Amino acid sequence: MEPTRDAQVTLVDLLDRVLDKGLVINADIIISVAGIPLIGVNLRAALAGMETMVKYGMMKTWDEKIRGREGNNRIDREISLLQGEELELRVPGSVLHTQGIYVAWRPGQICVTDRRLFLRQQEFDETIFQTSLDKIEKLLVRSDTLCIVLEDQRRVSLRVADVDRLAASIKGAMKSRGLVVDETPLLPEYEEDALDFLTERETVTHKGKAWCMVLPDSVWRPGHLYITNRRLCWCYDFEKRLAFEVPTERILGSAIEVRNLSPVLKRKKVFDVIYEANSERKVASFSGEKMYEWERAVNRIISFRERIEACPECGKEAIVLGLLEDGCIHCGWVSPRLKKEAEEIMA
Amino acid sequence: MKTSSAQGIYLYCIADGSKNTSLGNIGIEDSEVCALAYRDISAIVHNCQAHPYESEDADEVKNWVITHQDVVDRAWHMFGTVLPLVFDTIIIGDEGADPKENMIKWLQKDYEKLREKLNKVKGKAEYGVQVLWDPEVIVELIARDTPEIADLREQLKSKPPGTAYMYEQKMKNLLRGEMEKKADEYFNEFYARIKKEVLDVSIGKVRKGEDNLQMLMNLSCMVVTGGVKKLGLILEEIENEKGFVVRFTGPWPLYSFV
Repeated sequence: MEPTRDAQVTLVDLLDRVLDKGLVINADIIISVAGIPLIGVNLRAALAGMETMVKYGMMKTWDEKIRGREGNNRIDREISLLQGEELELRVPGSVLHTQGIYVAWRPGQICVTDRRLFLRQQEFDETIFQTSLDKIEKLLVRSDTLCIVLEDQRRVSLRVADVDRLAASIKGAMKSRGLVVDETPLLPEYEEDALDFLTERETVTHKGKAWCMVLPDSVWRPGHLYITNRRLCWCYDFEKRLAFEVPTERILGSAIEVRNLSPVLKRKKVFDVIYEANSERKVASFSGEKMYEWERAVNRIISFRERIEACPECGKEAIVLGLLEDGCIHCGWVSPRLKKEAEEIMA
Repeated sequence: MKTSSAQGIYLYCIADGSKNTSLGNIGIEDSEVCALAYRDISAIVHNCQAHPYESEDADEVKNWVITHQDVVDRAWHMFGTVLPLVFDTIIIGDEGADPKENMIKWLQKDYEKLREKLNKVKGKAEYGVQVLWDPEVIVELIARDTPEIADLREQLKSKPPGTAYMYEQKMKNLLRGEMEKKADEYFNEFYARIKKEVLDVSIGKVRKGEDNLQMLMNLSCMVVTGGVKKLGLILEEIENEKGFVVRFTGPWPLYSFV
C-alpha cells in the first residue's frame, strides 16, 4: 500500500497537522496564541461534526456521559409482571401525586403492558400508581404532560421525556385489547396552572386554598397557600400575585387557634405561622380548611431541619439538612440530587 | 525582505541550512516568502501585520492552511530538513521596533534546542495512518458470533411493535458493548503490528469518518525517509480484513514529533 499526498484525500489530515501540531513557540514575542485554537475549533466543527456517531457507541469519550447516566439510574432491575403479562414500554418518568394538600411529582419507571399502566419506584420496590387499561377513559397530551382520566373521573398526570411515544404506546396496547380511548380535549381545567412565581429548581410540595389576613388593614382575603422546597407563600387570588412569602428556614413555629375573623365569620380555625424578619418575630395568619394539615407540614419542615441522621457513606451523624445541602464533612459524601445539579451546572 | 514597516513576521518553519533568499510570492495571501539565516539554520517567513489570521469563513481558513503547508513543503525540498510551526505563529516587535530583532533574539536563545530537534528529525518523515471500519459489516460479524444477539434478533421478528422496541434497545446495548470490546481488541492488535515497523508512533484523536465509516485509530508514524514499504505491507494486510478501510497519507514534515 502506497501513501498519498493527494490534496483531495489528505485535506482533513493536513488541517489536523497544521492547526493542531507543529512547533509551538512559548515566548512573549508571539501574537496572542489564544486566537489560534479558535480557528482550529471552528474549522474542525465545520469539517468533522460529531453527529450520530454514538449509534453503535464506539466513540467512547462522547458516549460515556450517556452511558454513565444509564448506569446511575438503577433501571436494570427487572420489573415484576403478572403471569403472562407482556411489557410493551418502559421509560423513566414521574406521576403527579396529591394527597390532601401534599403535591409532588414522584419519579419512577412508567410501564405499559398489555394489561396495565403503572409507575414503579424500583429503589423502594413500590408501585406508586397503577391502573388496568380498561379503566382508562381519556388520554390527553399537554406539552410535556400526559393527562389521563380514569373511569372514576380521577385524573392522573404523567411526565416523561417523550410524551407522544408514551401516549402512542398506551393507545396501541388498548387498541389491541379492543378498548377505545376518548381523545377529545374535554378535560376540566388542569390544576397545575402556571405558577410563574416559582424560581428555578423550586417545586411545590403543598398547596391549598386559604384565607390570609393582610396588613395594614387587617382584612381577610382569599387566595392559595403554597409550601415549596424553599418558601411558604400565599398568592392573592384576585391580583394573581404573591402577597406573602417567607423562606422556610426563617419559620420559627406554627400554632392553631380558634378566633373570630370578622363580626360575621366567627369561631374559625386560624393557622399562625411565626417567622423571623429583620430580627423580629412576626406572625402571618391563615384560615380555611385543612389547617391542621398545614400545621403538620410546617412542623415537619421545622423538625426535619434539626433532625440528625447518619451519613450513608461513613455513618457519622450530622444534621440532615447539612448532609443534604453540603455533603458529609467527614467523608465527602454528596447526595445524588446535589451531584445531578452539579453535573447540570457543569454541562 | 524590503519593507521594515510590517509589524509582524509570520513563521512557517525552521529549516536546516543557511540561506538568505526569496522563495517568491508563494505565501499566505500571495505574500513574499523569505528565508532568513541565523548561523546554520534559517527561518522561513513573510512580513505581515501584527494581527493573527482569523476568519469565520471555513474556505478561507482552509486556503490559508493549505498555503502554509505548500510553503513548508517547498522549504522541505529546498533544505532537506524542516521543523514546521503551528499555523498562525506571528512574531511581533517591541513597541514599534522591527520584529526581525525579536526573531533573531529568539533564534539566538533557542538555537541549541532547534539544532537538536533538527538533528532528530533529519532523514525522517511522518505518515498519517487511519484505520476505519464499516459498523454495519462489523455488527453483522458480531451478531453472527454472539449467540445472545442472534437469539434476540430471532425473537424480535415475532413481537408487536411496542415490545419489539424494547428488544431492539436491549440488542443495541448489547451490540454497543461488543463493538467497544472489539474496537479495543483491534486497536491493540493493529497498534502492535504497526509499531514494529516504524521509529515512533503518536496517537491522535479519532474523527468522524466519511461514508458511514467509523474511525478506529488515527496515528502519526515516524519513518526513515523512503523506508515506508514495510508499513505499507502491514496496512495492506489490515485493509484486506473484512470491514476495514485504511487511509495512508504522507510523507509529511514531522508535525507530530516536534
